[in-house]
Order: sequence, then C-alpha cells, then structure tokens
Amino acid sequence: MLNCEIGLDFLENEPALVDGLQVGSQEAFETLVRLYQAPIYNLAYRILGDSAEASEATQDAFVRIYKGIGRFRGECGLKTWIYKIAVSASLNRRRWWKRWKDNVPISLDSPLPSYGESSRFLEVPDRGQSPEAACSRRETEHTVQRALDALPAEYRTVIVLREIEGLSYEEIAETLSISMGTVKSRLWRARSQLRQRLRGLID
Amino acid sequence: MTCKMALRGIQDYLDDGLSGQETIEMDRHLEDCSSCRQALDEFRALQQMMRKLDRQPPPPDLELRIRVAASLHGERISLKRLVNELGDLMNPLAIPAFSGVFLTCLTFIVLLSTLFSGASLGSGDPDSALGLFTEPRARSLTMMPVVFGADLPFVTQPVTVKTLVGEDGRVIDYTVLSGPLDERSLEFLDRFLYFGVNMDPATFLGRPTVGTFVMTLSFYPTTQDRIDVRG
Ligand SMILES: [Zn+2]
Repeated sequence: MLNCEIGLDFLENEPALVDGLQVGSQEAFETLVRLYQAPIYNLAYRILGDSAEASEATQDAFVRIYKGIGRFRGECGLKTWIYKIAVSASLNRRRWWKRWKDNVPISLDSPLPSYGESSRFLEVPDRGQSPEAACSRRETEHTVQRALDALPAEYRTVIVLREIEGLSYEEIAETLSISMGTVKSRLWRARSQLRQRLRGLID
Repeated sequence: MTCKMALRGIQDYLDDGLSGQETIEMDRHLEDCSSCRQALDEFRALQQMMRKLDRQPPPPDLELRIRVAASLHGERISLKRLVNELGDLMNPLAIPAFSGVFLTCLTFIVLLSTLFSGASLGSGDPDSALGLFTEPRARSLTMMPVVFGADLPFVTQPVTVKTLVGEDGRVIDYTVLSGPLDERSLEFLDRFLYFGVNMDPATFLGRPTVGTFVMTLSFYPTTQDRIDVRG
C-alpha cells in the first residue's frame, strides 16, 4: 500500500470512529478530517489538476460525509466509502468547472490542455535537492499531471486510485461501483495512453 | 508464449497478479523478445514515475475550512469553538504560510486602523506613564475570515468602535463611536467583534488585564477565489 499514512492504528479504531461519527461526535469528525483530508485532497488534486478546485472538492466531500455518515451501514469499509464520496465530489466539481472554464469537452485526440493558471500550484516541496533536481522534478510533475488531465475522466480516476492512492483492484471496483473487469480494462487503457503521451519522459 | 499473450499479461505482471507458472513463462518470453521487454520496461517506468509523484500537501487552512463548511450544515460542530481557532490562524506568523483563504460568502477583508488605544485607561493613567501598563494590541486584523451565515448583511461603511478587551484577548463590550447604529449592523458587529477578534490583552506588571482599544474597521466581502495577503 502506498498510502501508508492511513495507518494501522486507524484501522484498529475504525469501529469506534464510525460509532462516534454516527452519534454526532465532534471529536470523531475532527479525527476523520485529520486522517483523511490529506489523502482526499491529493486524490482530488490529481483528478482535477488544480489546487483551488481540489480544496473545494475536498470540502464538498467532507460536507457530504458529515451529512451522510448516518446512512453509512458498513457494507463496504469506511475508507472505500470515503473514497467513493471523494471521487464523486471531484468528478462533479470537474464537470462543473470544465464547463465554465473550457466549454469544450476533452477528447482523446485533443492536444494537452494548457495550464496557465494552475501551473503555479504545482510547486513541490523542496526536500533539500539541488535546484536542478528540484526543477526537473517539477517539470516531470507538471508533465505527468497534464498527461493525466488529458485522459478521459473514467480512465484517469482508475489510474489515480491505483498508482497514486495504491488501492487494489477490488477496492477500486467498490469505490467506483464497477466490475473488476472494467477496472482492469480502464486501467490498461489509461496506462497505454499515458505511455504514449509520456514516452519522452520514460525513455 | 506469443507476443499477444505476453502483452495481455503485462498489466498483471505490473500489479503482481500473475501466478508463479505464468511469471516463469512471461520471464522466458521476455528474455527472447526485445520488443515485449521494451514495452514492459516502459510500463514499469511509467508506474514508478506515478508512484513517486509527490503527494500534494493540502493548504494549511483546509482543515479549518472543512470544519467551517461542515458546521454550516449542522449544529453539531460548535461555531464558537471554530471562530476561536480562526484567531489562531490569524497569528501574524501564520499568515505568510498561506496566501489565500477562501470561504465563499464568509470572507471579509477587514481593514483596520488603530486610532488610539487604551484611551480611557491609558493616557491619563500614571501606570501607563511608568511603563507598567501596556495597552491591548490587535494581533492581526488586516484580513480576517469571519464565519457568518450567508443571510447576514454586512456593514458597508467604515465603523469606528471602542472595545473593552478582556484578559483573554476577547472583546467584552464595545461602543460604536461612528458608523451605523441600526439593529442589523449591530448584529453584524456583535458577531464580528465577539467571535472574530482576537487581541493581545493589555498587561499590568506583565499580567494580562482589561484594557480598551479603539479601531476603525472597513469590511469588504470577497467573491474571489483567493485573497492575497500583503504586508
Ligand atoms: Zn514478445
């Protein structure tokens, strides 16, 4: 699993957390926010490709979680349930946002969208690398995000959940309410398209 | 194994979904077939690249914004407690760390000018002259997100208020020295001054004490996505 910050202690406490959430405990909700805001924000960011939009989507998702926790029955895990809401909040946001910003649906053959506005949000934290390394890291980051953004939403969502969030096929299928076969075929299409688009980087 | 079969197996290979036997067959094919080997290398490099992407850190104020947003959808989270925390965010040191705060319909830029402070206690008071008394100070009010329901109108004209600031830095009482005095404006000012303002209290001999603080406030509601904080 890649998203190791959702640690073991959380999984151990999950029933208690869910109970707390369902009786309206403020502490439980705050714990949930603390645990999940970073993963949800990152997921939203990769789906939306824009920091301000990702913040909005994260906010939307938590409001829905807050309002909907009473209906959470535990058929799927809390994590899956939360990811489900986060993906749907992000895709909703994206539909709304794209309609206003571009007014043009993204097709597979269209050139990569340009990112005048959002590129300044792609700054990555300095980890004591040389300026050159940091710069090339940023460039890679930017190029990958643009390539992701050019994928159809359903492919992008699957590959983000798999490679960036580290979900298993089963978890992705549950999160998106699609079959395992569909997960695999979308993942394969996403990978094939990214391979084409990012050939320059992965040589 | 044919190239077609090998290509079909690449994804399972990447995701560790091949059985032992299938892996052996795949490896055997890859040894002999440079084009499938290249394809696998590319897919694997792609996978590595995506997994190594930095996680985007959420903006520092996101957690608070989430809780504000949630609080507007239910009474379960106490509004008062949230606004207490807004005061912490307004710590001058915290401001340069994030340059945009976005609370739709909730954010006001507050321009504050201090006319004078400690007016009633300070000027004529011998303690003040001896430097034993320090006056209340606004920590930072140049930009203050205030939690309001969208229904509440805001005060459009500048208001000058004299506030009585408690030992905890919260406003205890205030009087409007100049500005609107109608009920709705006062309701707005109540909310802002009692919940939105956080000051360094006055001190006497180094201990916090009650003091007065006079300020002029101008509120600008913002509908922009972000506000740049300067200065
Ligand atoms: Zn081959």
